[in-house]
Amino acid sequence: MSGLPLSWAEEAGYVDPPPAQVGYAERNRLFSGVPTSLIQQCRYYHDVDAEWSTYLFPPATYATYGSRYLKRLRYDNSLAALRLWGFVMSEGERLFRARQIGRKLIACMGDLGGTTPIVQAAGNAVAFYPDCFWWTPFFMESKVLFEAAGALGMGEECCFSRATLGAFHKRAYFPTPDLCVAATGASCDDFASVAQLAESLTGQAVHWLEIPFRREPQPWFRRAAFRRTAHGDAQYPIHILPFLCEEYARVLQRLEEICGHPISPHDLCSSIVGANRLRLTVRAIRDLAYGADPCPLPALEAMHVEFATLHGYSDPDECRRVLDNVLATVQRRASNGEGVLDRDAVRVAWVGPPADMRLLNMLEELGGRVAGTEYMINQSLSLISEEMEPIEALADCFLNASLIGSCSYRARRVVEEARRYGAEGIIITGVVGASHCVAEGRTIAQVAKEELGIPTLCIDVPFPSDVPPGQIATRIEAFLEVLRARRDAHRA
Amino acid sequence: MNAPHPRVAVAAHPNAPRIPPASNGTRVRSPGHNRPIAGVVTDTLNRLAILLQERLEQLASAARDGAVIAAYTCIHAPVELLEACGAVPVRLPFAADSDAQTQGATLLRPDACPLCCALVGARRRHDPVASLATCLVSPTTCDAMRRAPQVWPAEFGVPLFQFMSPRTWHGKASRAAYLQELIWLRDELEALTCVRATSERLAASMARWERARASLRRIHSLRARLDLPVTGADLARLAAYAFVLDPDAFSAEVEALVAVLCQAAPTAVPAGRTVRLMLMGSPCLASDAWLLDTLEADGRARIVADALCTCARWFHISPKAAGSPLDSLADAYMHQPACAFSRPNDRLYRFIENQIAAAKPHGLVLRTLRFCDAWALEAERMRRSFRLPMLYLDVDYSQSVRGQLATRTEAFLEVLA
Repeated sequence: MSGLPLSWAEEAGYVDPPPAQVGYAERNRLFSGVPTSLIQQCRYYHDVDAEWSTYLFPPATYATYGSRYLKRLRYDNSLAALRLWGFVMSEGERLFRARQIGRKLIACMGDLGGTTPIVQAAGNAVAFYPDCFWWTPFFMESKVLFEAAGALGMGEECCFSRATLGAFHKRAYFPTPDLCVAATGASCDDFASVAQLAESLTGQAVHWLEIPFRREPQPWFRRAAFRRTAHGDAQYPIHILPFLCEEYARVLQRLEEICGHPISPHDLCSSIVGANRLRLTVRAIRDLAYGADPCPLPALEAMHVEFATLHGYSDPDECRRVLDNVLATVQRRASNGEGVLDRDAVRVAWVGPPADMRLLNMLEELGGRVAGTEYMINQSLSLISEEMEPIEALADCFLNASLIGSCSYRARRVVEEARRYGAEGIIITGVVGASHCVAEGRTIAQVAKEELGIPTLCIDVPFPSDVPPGQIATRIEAFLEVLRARRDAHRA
Repeated sequence: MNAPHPRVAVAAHPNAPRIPPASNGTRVRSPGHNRPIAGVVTDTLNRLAILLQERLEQLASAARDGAVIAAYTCIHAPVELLEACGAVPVRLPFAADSDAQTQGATLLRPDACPLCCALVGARRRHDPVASLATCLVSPTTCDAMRRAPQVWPAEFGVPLFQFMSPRTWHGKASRAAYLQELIWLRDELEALTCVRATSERLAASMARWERARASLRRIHSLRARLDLPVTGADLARLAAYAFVLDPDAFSAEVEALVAVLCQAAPTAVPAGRTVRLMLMGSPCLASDAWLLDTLEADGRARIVADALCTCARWFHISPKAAGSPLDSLADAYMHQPACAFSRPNDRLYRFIENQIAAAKPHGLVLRTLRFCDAWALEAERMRRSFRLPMLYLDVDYSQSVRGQLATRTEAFLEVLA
């Protein structure tokens, strides 16, 4: 037994085992020790008070429903992590339940957290990201969604995002949304194409949201006027803020029509306060997960935590409780000097969502750990100003996004992250056919070398298969060896 | 089928524009001269090739003297504005081949679209047109074309002026933002050139470019006539010159050609059915004309319409002469025939439908550059929407694909014939 048990679990008599990563079987075995009273406490949509809303189940439950991939992963053995996994994995079910209880379903695509506080302000609407279905072919170890997308013209020239089109077409992975708010412009072309085809070939109602390009100051500019974001370090041309505000106002207006009632500035402010609270929790978890030694939370769970900032996995209220629980766990571990990985694990900043989650497990099994990330969702980690007008605050916050500006801005963000958490190297994951990848790897590698003197490894995430290719493992292993050698040389 | 079409020999070479072979006596002496017209298009192309070489020499000299040569990457950059600011606009890449693609890929990723690779590769290997550029003006169009130009300042030290070109087109906010971006671009270029883009200058520039585009629209209307020897490949070549030449010089040549074609006696229509085709997809550069030649070889087919940004979609941009020139320019460019990346891209479909209704093609050819998602991902939808036989070609700039494409093209034409 390790230190202080969590208060909510303690009341039910449950104490976490010593921190470790465990396999599927052990994770299931640990679940058998979880008191029923705790399981009953973990419910989504608390306000509904329904029998069906429990989600604290072991990976075996979700594997039975088709997520076979779960059998191959390694998990944090804490109750908080189990709860996190259950909450994440139950999102699909949650969306169908939301429809059942009369909530409006709003699919947000490609804006990565920008509009969800507006949707959540409506009260009777649920925001979700069909984008996240790009993980599904990996989770289900199935090409069904790719094949469905292929039949609609999205083949292998497109990145894994095409699975989302397959999901729209199949109509079995999420209920048909009442509206899809689809980002275009300085966002992801592939997801915009998915939304275009979903609109034209599956009849999905789409509201297009133009994301402005964030031009950044350059030495040769003479006439440009820039403004800095309220929270963050991005600078943007002053006239794009009112433009994005107008775009958000159009979204707001459309949502009011769909939800059947006005969304007041007070509603928006409350939503922003809630979003900020979630973001602060996530930031606190990140600081410990990526900074503390030994590592108190594995990279996979930390990634789930980060992605919670996008939309709270379709239930931001319960998500806050789940993450409070995770934060308490990592704080307890850190204060006790406990962790799930060796103290000398090689610290690596990870760039790009890995698509195949086993890559994060692989890094840790090979003796590495994640020390900083850039999953292209940094705008959802930035705080939203509570002093500005709510729509303006949301727009200003979104303009921190790494995806909408220059490659060099993203590179600087990566380097800043690597510096903050003491990364010894950087791994960049790309996906063949991903339109945003074309120029960034080289820029990031250059800036990392110039500013931190650390090396970079670029890997392309392979197509889903039962076993991750040995070549990837070999490359990561070799990279870690290089980093260890550099560390030894530095110490010497 | 691998032998080049005779006209390939007179096209400007992608890397080293050169003087075409001497005239064989079929030069046009004056518009309307009563003579067989079979060679008049070739003659015009020959002269344009000469003008191109002269133009490159002039621009190289001017650049050495401090002139601003503003290369631009997409037709969402209003050439009129660049010119009114005292810059000389040239569109990049002018031409591409597998070497340019490979050289560019070393600075990007191998799965970057070949056009973006060529944009970078052309400068890296000092292609004549790319080397002229003293700054790069790049609207944010597709993802790859938003990022690839960023290599230019980093690797070549060329200032980059990127501006937002909205993908959406229905809101006042988009139009207002686009106008703001144009104003910023104007101000920056004015600072660079020390030339004020007054309304008068802008209006004059708009008139010059409108003349050039109008001349191409006339050729466009003639290419559907099978009794005239002007093909889709000819039009594509003519349009390619327009992206580099002075618009007045270009217009004079093309207007003369139009006059000849309009007044000349029709030639005999080839025996048998000539398949009418419409071409659409990723940009077709000067160096891609071989594909059009392949499609139209031996007169078995005629490209009677297209939806290319290097051809019909460009010369269908037509700013109104009335009102504020800058407003008029913004309206025209915002509402130009849409690229596949516009959202929603229904306007593209309407443009194609209108072209189909006017030119009555028997079949469609969708030619995309590998990893050009904006177009490639529309293939199935286009097949369903237009209900015409469609040949889908996904290519890069390597020569090795040509034999296979020729075979597929022949098979497609046989089916249609």
